[in-house]
Amino acid sequence: MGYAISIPFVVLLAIFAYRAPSPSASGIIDPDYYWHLGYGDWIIQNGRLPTEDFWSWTFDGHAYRLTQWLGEVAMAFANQMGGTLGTSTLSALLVTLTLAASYKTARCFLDNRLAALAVSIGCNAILISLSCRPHQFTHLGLAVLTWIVASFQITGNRRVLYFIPVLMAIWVNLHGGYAVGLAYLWMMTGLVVVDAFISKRPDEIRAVAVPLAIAAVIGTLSTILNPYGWGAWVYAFEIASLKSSSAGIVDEWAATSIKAEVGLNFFLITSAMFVAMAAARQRPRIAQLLAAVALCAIGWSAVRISLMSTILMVPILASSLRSTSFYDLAFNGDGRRYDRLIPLPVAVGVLAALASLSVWLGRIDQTAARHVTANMPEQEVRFMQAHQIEGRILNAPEAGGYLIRKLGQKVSLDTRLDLYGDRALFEYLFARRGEVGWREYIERMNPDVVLINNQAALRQLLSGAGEYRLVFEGATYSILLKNSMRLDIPTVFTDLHNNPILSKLKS
Amino acid sequence: MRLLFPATLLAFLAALWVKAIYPASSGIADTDFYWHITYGQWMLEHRMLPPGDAFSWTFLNAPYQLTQWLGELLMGVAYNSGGLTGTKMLSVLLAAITIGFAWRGAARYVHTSLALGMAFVANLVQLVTPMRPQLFSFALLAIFTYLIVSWLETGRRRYLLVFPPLMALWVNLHGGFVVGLALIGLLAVGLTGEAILKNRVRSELYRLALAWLTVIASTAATLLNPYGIKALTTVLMIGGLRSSSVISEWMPVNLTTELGWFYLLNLVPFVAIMAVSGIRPRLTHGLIAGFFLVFGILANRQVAMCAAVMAPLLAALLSRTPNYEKMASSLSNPSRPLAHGLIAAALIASFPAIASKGDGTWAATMNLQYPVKATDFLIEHGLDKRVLSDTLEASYLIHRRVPVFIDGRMDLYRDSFFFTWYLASHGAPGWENILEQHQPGSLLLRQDMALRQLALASGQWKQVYEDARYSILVPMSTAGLPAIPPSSVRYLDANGGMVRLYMP
Repeated sequence: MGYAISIPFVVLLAIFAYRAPSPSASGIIDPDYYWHLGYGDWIIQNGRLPTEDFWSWTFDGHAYRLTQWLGEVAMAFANQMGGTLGTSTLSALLVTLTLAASYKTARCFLDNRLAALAVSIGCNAILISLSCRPHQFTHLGLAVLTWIVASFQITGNRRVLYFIPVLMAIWVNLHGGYAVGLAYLWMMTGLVVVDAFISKRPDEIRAVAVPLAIAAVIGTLSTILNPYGWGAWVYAFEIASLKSSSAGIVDEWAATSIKAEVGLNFFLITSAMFVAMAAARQRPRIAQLLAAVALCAIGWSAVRISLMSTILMVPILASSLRSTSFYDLAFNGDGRRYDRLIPLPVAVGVLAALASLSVWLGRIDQTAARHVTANMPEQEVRFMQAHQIEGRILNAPEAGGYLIRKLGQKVSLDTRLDLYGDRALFEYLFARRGEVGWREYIERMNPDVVLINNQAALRQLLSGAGEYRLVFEGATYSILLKNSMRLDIPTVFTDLHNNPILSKLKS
Repeated sequence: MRLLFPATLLAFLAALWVKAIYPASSGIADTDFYWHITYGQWMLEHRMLPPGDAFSWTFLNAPYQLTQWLGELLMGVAYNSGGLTGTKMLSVLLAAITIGFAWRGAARYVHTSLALGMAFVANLVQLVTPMRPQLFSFALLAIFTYLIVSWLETGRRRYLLVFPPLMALWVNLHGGFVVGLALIGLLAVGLTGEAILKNRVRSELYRLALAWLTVIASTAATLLNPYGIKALTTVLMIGGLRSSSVISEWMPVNLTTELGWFYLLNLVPFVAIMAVSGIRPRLTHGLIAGFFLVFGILANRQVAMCAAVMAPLLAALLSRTPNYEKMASSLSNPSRPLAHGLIAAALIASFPAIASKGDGTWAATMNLQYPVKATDFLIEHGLDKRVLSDTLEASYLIHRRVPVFIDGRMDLYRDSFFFTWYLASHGAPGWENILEQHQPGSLLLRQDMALRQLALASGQWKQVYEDARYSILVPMSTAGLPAIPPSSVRYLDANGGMVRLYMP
C-alpha cells in the first residue's frame, strides 16, 4: 500500500474545504465584523494601537483599549489578502484547528480514531457554522488547552505544560476569552486537589495538582504580556460587569435556550456526557463529576459560554465514553475495522471534488448576501451616499459597525459596548421602544439623521411628532431627516403595516 | 393508644406554614388570577357554564370552552369564602397534596425522613407557586406518580382502578390532564419494554393488559366533561399557539433564574446518583424521568410538573445504592408529641399576625401591581365601556367586571388578534389602525408602553388620569375631562446606574 492518511485527517480537511469558500463564514453577516476589520486595517496602516475612539461622535476622543488587537489584525490581514474569501478561509482554518485540537484531546482517552473524531465534531458541531470573529481564537485556545491538560493527566509528562504560558501570552492579545481558559486551568487544578483530598490520594497533589498550579500561575502571569499589562485584566472585569451583557439584549449573551439551535446542541452534548458517565463501567472521579456539573451550569448562563463549555467537555465525554458498552459495541472489536487509512490519491480526489463543489456553491450561494441586505443597512448606506447625506447620525447599535466601515461617517452607537457602557446603550434602548423620556433623549442627542429599525416605536414617534420626516425605508431600517434639513430630498409616505409579520406568524 | 407526632409531620407542616405566610401564594401575583376567580364567581352566580365569552367587548359572546371550569369554580368558591386568604388556603392544600404524595411515593423506597426531604427539595417550587388551576395538575401528577410506584411495588390492582375517576376529575380541573395521560402511557410503554427486554411478555401478559386497559379507560374518562372530545382538542390547539413564544411562562427554562435552579434540583440529584453509584433506573422509571426532565426544561410552567413526579423516581434510584444501605441505619423519625405539638401550635398561633403583615405589605403596593385606582376612575367617569388595555391589566378589569379588549385567554383571542395587538402596543408601524378599527372609548396603559407615547404624540388622545404606573387616555374630543400633562420617569441615576430594569 502506498501513501495513506487517516479518516479523521480527511474529514477535518473536508470541513476546511467545505467551509473556506462559504460566504457565510467570512463574517459579513455579523454586525461586529465590520469594526473588527476596521480596527485591524487601522493598526496595519498606522503601525500602532489606537488609544482613543474616533468612530463615534458620542464618544469621540474617549480612551479605548483594544485588547484583542492581534485577532483583529489577523482578520484584517486575511481580508487584505483575499477579501471575504480571506476571512472565510481564516474562519475555516480556526474551526478546523479547533476540531483537530479537540480530536487530539479525545484521542488521549480513546484508542479508536473514529470515536475521537465523533466526540470532537459532536462537541464542536455549532462552531462549524460560525463566521469569522476574534472569539474563534478563544475556541481554538480552549481546545488546545484541554489537549495540553488531558495529555498531562494521561501521560504525566510535565513538559507539555510548558506550552501553557506561550498559549496564554498569545491568547491574551487575540481575544478576551483567555480569561475563560485561565478559569478552566484554575478550576481543574482546584478539582484535582479536592479529588485527591476526598479520595485520600495525597500523592496526586504533588504529581498532578502542583504542576498544574505552577502552570496556572505562570500562565496567569504571562497574560501580562500585552500592550496594556494588567490593564487587560481590569478591562475584562469592566466588560463582565456591564449590565448590557447580562440583560439578555445581545443575543449571544442571552441565556441558553433549549428551543434554539445552540441550546438544543448544548442539551444533547450535556445529556450525552452525563449518560456516558452514568453508563460507564468505571465510576467517574469526583473531579470529573464536579467539572461536568460546573461546565453544564455555566454553559446554560449564556449562548456564547455554552459554545466554550462544550469544547471543555471533550475530555470528560471521551474518558467516560471509553468504558461504556456502547463504545465496545461501536468502536471496539468489529467496529474497529472501520478505523482505517484511506489511500492518498482517493483522499486527494475526494477533497479536490469537495473543494470544487464548495467553491461553486460559494459563488452561487446568495444566503449571506441576502442576510446582509435584509439585516445590515446596505440600501440605506447607498441612499445616503447617493444623496450625500451627512450630519450627526442616531443609529441602531447593531447597524453601527456596518456604517463605520461602509458609510465612513461617525456613528452614535455600535456594538462596542465596552466603549459606550450601559448608560448610553440603555438610554437609546428605552427611547427606541418609545418609553417615557424619548423626547428628552432626542432633544439632548439632537441628531440630524436617524437611522432606525422600521418596527421601532421611536420611528413612529419621530415621524408622528413632526420634527423629523421619513426619506427612506429599506428592508430593516428607515432614514429620517430633521425637517429643516435637505429639503431637496422628498419625504416618503409609506403604508407599512404588520401584515407580512402577521402572515409569517400564522404560517 | 399512643399519641404520635413524628418529626416529619412537623417538618411537613412547617413547610406548608412557609407557603401560607407567603403573600403571593394567594395567586395575587399571577397575571391571570383575577379572570380565573371571576369565571368561578360567574358560574356560582349563574349556576351554569358560560355559553360564550362574557368578559371582552371585542369577542363578546364568541364561542369559548371553559375546559378548566371546575378548577376555576373551586377558586371562585375559595375567594368568595375568604377572599385572598381563601385562595391562599386552597393553594396550601394543593401544595400539601403535591408534596404529601411525592413524600409517600418516595417513602415506598427510602426511609420516611429521607423521603420527605427528597419530596421537599424536588418540589421547592411549590412554595412560591401562586394559586391558579395549574396547581390541580401538580397535585394530580404527584398522586398519579404515587399510584404508579405503589402499583409497581405492590401489584395491587386498586391503585390502577383509581386512575379513570381521577382522570375524569382532572379533565375538568385543568388542561394539564394530557400530561397525566402521557404519564400513564409511559408506564404502559415502559412495562411493555421491560417485558420484551427480559423475554417475559407471556408471563407478564396480565400486568401489561392491566396497564394498557388503564391507559384506555383513563383516555375514555377524559370525555367526561361538558365539551367531550373538544376538551382534548382545545388543549392541543393551545399548545400550537404562536403567542406562547412571547409569554414568559411558555418560554424555555433559563437555568440562571430561580426557576432554573428549581429544575436543577430535580435533574442534578438524579444524574449524580446514576453517575456516582453506577445504579441504573428500571426502564419504566427511566422513561418517566427522562420524559419529565426534558418536558420540564421546555417551558417555565412545566418545571413544577417535572418536580411533582421526580421524588419517588429519585428515591427508587437512591434506595439501590450502597451508600443508602449505610445511611439507612442512621435515619430516624422521632415522635415527640408534646414538643412537636407545641411548635405546631406556635406556628399556627403566629400565622395570622405574620401573614397579615405580609399581606398588608402587598396590599400597600396593590396599586402598582394592578390598576385599582385607575379602574375606579374609569368607572366613576363612565369610561368603562370600551377600554383598551394590555393583558396584564385586563385580568383585573375583568374582576371589576369592566369589559376588556384582550386578556390572557389566548385560546379565545388566538394568534392573529393577539399579535395585531402585541405589535401595535409596541409601537410597530400601523399601530394607529388598531385604534381606528376598534374605536376604544379609553386607553388604560402602563406609562412605559410605546402605545401611550404614540397616542399622546399623535395629538388625538389626551391623558386624563395618571398615577405611579398607569395612565388613562381618552379621545381629544371628550368633554368634561381636563388633560393632564404626562410626568417624566427616571430610568437612570446620575451615575448611569439603572433605576428601572430593562426587560428585553
